[in-house]
Amino acid sequence: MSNVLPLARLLSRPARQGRAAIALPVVAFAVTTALLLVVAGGARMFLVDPRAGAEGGLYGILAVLALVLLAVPLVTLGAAAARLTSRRRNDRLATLRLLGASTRELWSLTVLEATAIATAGALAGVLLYAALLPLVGLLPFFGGPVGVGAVVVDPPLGAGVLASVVLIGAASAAASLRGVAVTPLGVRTRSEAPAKKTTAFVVGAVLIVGVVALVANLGTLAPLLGPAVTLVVLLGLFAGALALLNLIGAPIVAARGRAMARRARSAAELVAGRELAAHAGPAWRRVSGMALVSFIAVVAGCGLAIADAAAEACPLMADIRTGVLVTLGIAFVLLACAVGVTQAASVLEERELIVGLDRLGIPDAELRRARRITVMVPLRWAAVGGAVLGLMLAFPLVGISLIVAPLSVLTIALTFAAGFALVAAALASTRPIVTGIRRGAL
Amino acid sequence: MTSSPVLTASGLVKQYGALRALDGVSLTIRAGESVAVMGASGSGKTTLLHCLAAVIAPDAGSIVLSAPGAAPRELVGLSESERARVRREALGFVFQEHLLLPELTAVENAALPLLLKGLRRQDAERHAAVWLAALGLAGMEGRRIGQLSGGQAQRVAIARAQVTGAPVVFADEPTGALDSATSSEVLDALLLATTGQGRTLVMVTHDADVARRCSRIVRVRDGRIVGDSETDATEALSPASSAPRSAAAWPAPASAPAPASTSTSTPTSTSTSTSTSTSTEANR
Repeated sequence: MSNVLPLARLLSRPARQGRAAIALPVVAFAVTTALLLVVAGGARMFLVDPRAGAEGGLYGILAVLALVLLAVPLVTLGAAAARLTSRRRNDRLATLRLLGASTRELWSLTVLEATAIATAGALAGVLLYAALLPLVGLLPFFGGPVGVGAVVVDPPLGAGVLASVVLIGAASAAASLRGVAVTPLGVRTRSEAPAKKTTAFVVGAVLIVGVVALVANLGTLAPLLGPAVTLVVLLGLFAGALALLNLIGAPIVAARGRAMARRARSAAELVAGRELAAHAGPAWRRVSGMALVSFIAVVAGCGLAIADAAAEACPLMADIRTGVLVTLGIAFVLLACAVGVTQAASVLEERELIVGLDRLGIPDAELRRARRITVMVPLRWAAVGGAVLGLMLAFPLVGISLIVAPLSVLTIALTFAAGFALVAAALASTRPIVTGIRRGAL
Repeated sequence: MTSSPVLTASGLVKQYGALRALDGVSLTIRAGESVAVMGASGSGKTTLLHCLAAVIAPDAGSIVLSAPGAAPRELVGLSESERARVRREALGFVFQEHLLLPELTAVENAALPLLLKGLRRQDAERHAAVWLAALGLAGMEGRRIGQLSGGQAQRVAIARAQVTGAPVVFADEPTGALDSATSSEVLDALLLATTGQGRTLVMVTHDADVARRCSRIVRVRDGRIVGDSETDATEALSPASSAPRSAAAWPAPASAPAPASTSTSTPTSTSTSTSTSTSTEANR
């Protein structure tokens, strides 16, 4: 084990694909940290700020709701960044294995590097947070700008955020090694056709129906539980439903991929369909943030419809409106970052195949089309899935009139448009990496 | 050798920073030849192959591709997309690491160049299946690459390189990752599928035994050709080969894409037990 540190130092030198593979996860960790600090600082403000006054309890609950909703994409982005970090390792890991390195040494090297990159990103994130703080201070809550002093995180909370980002980085890197067989002859990640996950789909669907039924009947249980416990249960059910959506998302994407490959008429459709069928899980995770964003859009749309009607008379409602818009904005940034990072990771991982397809003379447009399909097909399902789930959960609580209120519909439509545009932009941002690989520069 | 030139390179220069990888290389390759390009590591042999195959553009010089039935075409000066088109339509490739798509089945991998040319899926897979059968892979059409051995995967790569009827096939250490017995079989398949059909094979190799099986050996050192000799390889096929020797056993090339038409040239039926069924779904 004593040789792990010197080895890690040697291997930290930039490789052919080095700069992008190191810079991207650092940026992703920095964005994750900065936004997590913003969200944590904001949630703390709502919990302890005396200006919340009599409504303090409600402010706190709503802040925790935002935190719960944003936790999923934050963790997804952190995990994506960590996976990108470890992808870079694969070829070297095989060589080290050939030279006699033990599994434990490989594990230590991977986790050590991921931790170093996550730490660098987290520290950069603190700087980014410091730069963002004046803007966050301008957010209007409690009848005016909240001020930097109110939203800044205190040192223990800040340290906790940094530690959790580094922990996510290290844990994801360790987990990414689990499904990979590092043999002296190479790193194998796939060989057989993937099994159909019908059971996961059925279980997920049944559980979602159960959650919806529970939410619909929460009113009956509320007198027994009391308002505070009822709200906590409601938040838990929302989070649970979103987690279950991930359970059924991948099997849907796999089935869609199989159908597409079966009916494919062009090389792009065939390649994309088979790719989706074989790697439905990663394909779904890449865009699962969109499910959350569209879920928030439905809930937020209803919230906005309520708040808009009462905002003039009640500052709390105006604050809720600001809160949902801020939550949506942060979710969008996280989604775009996650798609960018995971796309970059998959491009770097598929380097040899891109070279192979290039040699065959695959037209640039055809390759781009295949890549676009593998992102946009799961994205559509994630958007629809999140929105439908939001509708099913919101309907018993607020009724159809608020869901179809013009402001709700407008919020949902704008969210969809912005979400698709952001993902398309994130996808386009990885094009230079593909071009670099095709030209042999990466 | 009296056949007509299919590739004529003259004065090729390629510089990487201070390194002159190709230093005025001139070379004529004739139809039906099998040319082994040999040289030490860093000699410029792979750069030469990549220039001839329109993968990269030389800094100076000329490369004329004279594919049968087409007007001679200068490759130097073409844009990236034009070079990709030349590779797609006139050239075939076999790599050491086969570079097949692991998510696709064997027949889908082999059919990919035909799909890129615009053939209908059904026709492309039918034609690819005939090639796979001719290369001894009948019944394996629906297998994924991970379910094939190294030699079988390399045969799929050969089928992919030849399925369009490319007049010139480039191979970069095609047997480099295989054991000697499998290497010999794959080489048999490659030679029969290319020069055996009157096509041209240009192969980079460091293996003298492999090179001796080609009709001509070109030696490269410091970016220049230092040796060019014909071999006495009269019988390319190794005695133990199981590959079919009869030309009739090999499929005819698929016709040029005809998007409006539903028919392509029917591949010559093989004398081997060609299970041309492309019911790959059954295995998925």
